[in-house]
Amino acid sequence: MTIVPNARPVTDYLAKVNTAWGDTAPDWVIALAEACSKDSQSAVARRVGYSAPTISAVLGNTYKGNMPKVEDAVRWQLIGETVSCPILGAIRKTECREWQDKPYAATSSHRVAMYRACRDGCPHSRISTETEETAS
Amino acid sequence: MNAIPKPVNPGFGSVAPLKNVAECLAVAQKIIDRPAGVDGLGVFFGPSGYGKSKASLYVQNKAKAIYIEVFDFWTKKVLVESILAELGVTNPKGSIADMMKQVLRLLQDDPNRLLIVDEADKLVDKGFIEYIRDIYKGARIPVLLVGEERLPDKLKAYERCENRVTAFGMANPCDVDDAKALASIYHRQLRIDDDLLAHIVMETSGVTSRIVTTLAEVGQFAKARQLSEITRDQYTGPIFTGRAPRRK
Repeated sequence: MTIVPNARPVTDYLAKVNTAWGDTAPDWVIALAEACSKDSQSAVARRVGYSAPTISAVLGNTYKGNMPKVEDAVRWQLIGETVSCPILGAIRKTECREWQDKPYAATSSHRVAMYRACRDGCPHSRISTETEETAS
Repeated sequence: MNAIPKPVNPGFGSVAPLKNVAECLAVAQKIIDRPAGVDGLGVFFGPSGYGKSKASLYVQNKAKAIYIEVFDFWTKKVLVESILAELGVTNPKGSIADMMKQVLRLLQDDPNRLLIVDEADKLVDKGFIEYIRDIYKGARIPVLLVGEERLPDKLKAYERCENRVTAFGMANPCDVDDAKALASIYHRQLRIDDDLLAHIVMETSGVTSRIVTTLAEVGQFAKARQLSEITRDQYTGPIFTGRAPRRK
C-alpha cells in the first residue's frame, strides 16, 4: 500500500484482499471486506466480535491466530446462516434469536404474531414452557 | 407459469416480490439516503388490502427499522411506550415528556434508523402526529408513514407535516405478474394457468388480500381433486370479489 503523506488514507478493503489473497480469497473474506467498505472496519469488528486489528490482519492474510474461528464468527454474524421463520420466511439466525428474546408488547400485530410464533412449537425456538414460567 | 423462483422458504412467511414491495422500499430508501437538510418524512398510502403493511414489514426487516402499528385504543402515552418497547425498553416509566426524552436519547445512539408507523392515519385522526414530528425533528431519523388512501389529505391539515414529506409512494393493485409471484410463494406445488390468474386479478380488482384468499381457495380446490395444474375452465370454486354472496 502506498503511503500518502498528510492525508488519511482511505482503505479499499476489496483491493487489500485482492493483493493479499490473490485469487485464493475465500468467499467469507470477501464478504468481510465488503462489509468493511460499507460500514467501517471497527464497526464490523464489533459485530463479528473480534478487534479491528484482527480484522485488518485477516483481510491482509497475515493473521497468525485461529483463522477457522474467525471464519465461523464471520459466517455466523455477517453472512448469517438462515432459518425459515414461520412468519418472516428466511431470516438470519441472529435475527431469530433477537425475536425470541423480545418480551410481549402489543406494538404491532406483527410483533404479537412473532411472539406467538416463537411459542407455538417453532422448531427453531429455544423457548420452552418451563423456561417461560420460571422467568416470569 | 414458467420457472418458479429459487425457494427462499418452503411455506408461508416469505414476502412475494410484488411491485408494491418495491415501491415501499424505494420510498424508504429515498428518505434514508436523503441529502443533508432534507426532511426524512415518507408516506406510503393506498386502500386497504393492497399489501401495504406486508410491504412495510419487508422494509422493516431489510432496514432493521423500528415498527409500530397504531391501534385505535392508543393514547399518547401508549404510543410513546410502544416506541420505547420497540427500542428495547421493557419497563417504561415516567411522564410522557420523560419517555419522549428517553426515546430521543435512545435514537441518538442509532442515528438514521428508520421508524415505520403503520396505520398512520389513525395517528393523524387522534392528533398525535406532532409526536412523530417531534421524534424525527429531535432525533433526525427518517420516518415512514403507512396508511390508508386518505392519509396525504389528512396530513394536509397539519401543514408543518405536509411540507416535510420528501417521498410519496402509492400502493397499486396487483397485476398478473404480481399474482404469479403470489401464487409461486403461496402455492409452490401447484401450477396455476395464466388465464385463471388473469381472471382472478380481474374479479378481485387486483386487491392483494383477496387474491391471496382466492389462491388459498384454488389451492384447496386443486388438492381435493389431486390436481398439480389448474386452468381457468377447471376451477369452479369461489373468487373473493369483496362482495357478500347474493341469494338467487
